[in-house]
Amino acid sequence: MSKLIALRTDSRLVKSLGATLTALPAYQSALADAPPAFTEVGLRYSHYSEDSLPEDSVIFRSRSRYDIDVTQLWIEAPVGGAWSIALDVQNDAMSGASPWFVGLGLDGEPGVIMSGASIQDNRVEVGVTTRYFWADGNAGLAISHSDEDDYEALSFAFDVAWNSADNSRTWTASASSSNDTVSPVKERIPVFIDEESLNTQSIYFGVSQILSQTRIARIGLSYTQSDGYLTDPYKFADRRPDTHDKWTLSAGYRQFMVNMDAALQADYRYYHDDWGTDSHTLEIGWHQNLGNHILAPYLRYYTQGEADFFSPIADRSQAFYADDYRLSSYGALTAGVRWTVQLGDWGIEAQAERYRSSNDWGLFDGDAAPALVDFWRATVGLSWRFD
Amino acid sequence: MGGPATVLVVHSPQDVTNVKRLLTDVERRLKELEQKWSRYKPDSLISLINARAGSGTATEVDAETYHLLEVCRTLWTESDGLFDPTAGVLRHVWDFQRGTLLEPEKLAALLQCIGFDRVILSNNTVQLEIPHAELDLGGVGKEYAADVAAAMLREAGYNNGLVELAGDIVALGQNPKRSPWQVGIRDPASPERSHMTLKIENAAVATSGSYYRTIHQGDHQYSHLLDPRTGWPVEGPRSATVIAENCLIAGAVSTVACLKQMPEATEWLEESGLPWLLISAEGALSGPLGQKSS
Repeated sequence: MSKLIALRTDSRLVKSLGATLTALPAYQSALADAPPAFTEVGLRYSHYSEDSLPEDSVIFRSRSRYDIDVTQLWIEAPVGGAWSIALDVQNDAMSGASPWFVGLGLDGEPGVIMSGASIQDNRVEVGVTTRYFWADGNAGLAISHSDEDDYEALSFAFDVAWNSADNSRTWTASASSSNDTVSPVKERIPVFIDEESLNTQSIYFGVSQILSQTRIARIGLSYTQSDGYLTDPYKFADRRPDTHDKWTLSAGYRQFMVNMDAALQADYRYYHDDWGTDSHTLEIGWHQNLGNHILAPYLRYYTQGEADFFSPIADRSQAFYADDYRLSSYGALTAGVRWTVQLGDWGIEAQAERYRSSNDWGLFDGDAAPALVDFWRATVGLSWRFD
Repeated sequence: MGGPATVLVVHSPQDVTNVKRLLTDVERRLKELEQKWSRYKPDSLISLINARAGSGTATEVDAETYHLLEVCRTLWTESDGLFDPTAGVLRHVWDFQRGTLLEPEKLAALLQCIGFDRVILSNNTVQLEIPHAELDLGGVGKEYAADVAAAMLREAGYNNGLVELAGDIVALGQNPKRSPWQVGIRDPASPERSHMTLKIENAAVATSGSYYRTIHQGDHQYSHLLDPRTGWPVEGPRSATVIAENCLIAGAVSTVACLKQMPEATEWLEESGLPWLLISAEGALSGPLGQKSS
């Protein structure tokens, strides 16, 4: 009687030996780009919950903020010997209130006037990606459509990755374009537009380099240009320029610790835009293999400077103004952990993270916004692969 | 490479010319590797390195040789020194090709020449610190060559084929009947017979055994696998068979298993997480492959 025995490549010993083989020519063709070997189906659910605002930060209405339930379904399958296709469907169910504007409280300090009764909104996004693989790289074309009560977006994206002859270096480039329509709902709070549009184009160039048998590094540069209606229609005191240019510089490093059967992950991102905002993001993570489990704790620090036209209480005498906390100066810490396990053809994942922000934690000078957000996020997921 | 070589390519009839050209290229490449790494060829790269042992002279080597030696260092570390390419110097005491035990009184002196930690790898150069030390890539060279041949078939677009170099096998895809390749595992008690048959696809199989080459001294039969720490043959498993995604890993894991005593060999194979078969000196079978699977 025959018994099918699948080859495992995840033991510490085999990974240690395998890592040393990558520099030898005979094994580099095995690293050539190829479509996925299996069809994979996955389902993921996330719950995002913002902390209620402190009592002394709210002037009027509820302290409760947003809760969002996100459900994702994806399927990725090989097609022929050189193609793959993927379908992604995401549903966001949002409820809660958001800051409407910031005013001066009785104590003389800025305080938040919230948007009123809890909103209920649902967003559905459907995306299709097709990818072509050849020996030295791959290229993908993606189309996605997102629809909700007050926002619709149609996006196109193209990306290409090319490997050097010895497979030690990968060049990546991508371009995307999105056409969005804003048609705010007028039931909850006064809004002053019926329908507006905005367009966003983005390009990215990056390179990753295998430094040694156990180390890899990458660097990338992106530019994004948006034009159209960029103001938040649900903010009472918000008027933003109709163009927005953004640049990011990102870098990452991975090192596999053979003796510990674990990997160190470090990522850095610098952001700059023509609204006067700069930000830094630094994330450190540790991926620990435990048999067929992986436990990956991580810590992320983010700091940004305020936009030129931001003030805690919007100055409406200016050409542009905003009191949106997302444009203020602050720092934020995220601590999280991710766990995955592969049980044959089934994969299970779970993730939890806690995000806290404060003007005091930022590296940039600027006034504090009273509506900075703190949140919890938990995610569970299940995947299944088959021939 | 010390044994027969077979390369099978599954192809359409109109591909005959291309396949013949490919096989010629494979043969040329294997001979090139043999020329580089054979310790029996006086003009090989390995012989040049060995000739300079203890002289303080480093030998510049090609990237492939350098990286293969780095693999050897990993194996030496992972096996706690049991896998040691400098143990080849023991051939001056043990001559397995002729089946004779030479001058045992020289063993103690030869042991001083053994130790991969005394091999200096630096900036694509190799240097043996100890005079009379020798490198022997017999434990990895043939297995790597099998993987090279398999890679050449794949790069040429042939994803179904079989490479066998002196018992080490790489199976690509399926056989002409669109079934898994069938590989026989020898019965150590009767090497001319197959103990069991494996059906494999896109995997490599390597078997190390103490019955391949032996020395008979009086009533005692010695294995060809030598413990680099003592210089004496190991009295461990009779054979170990391992399946892995490439022949170098399969061969390395099976070789180290046969250099250990039975309990340690079992632990080593279990740690690898790979399918394995162990046959003890008494002929007992153990391992996932020994559970009536094929």
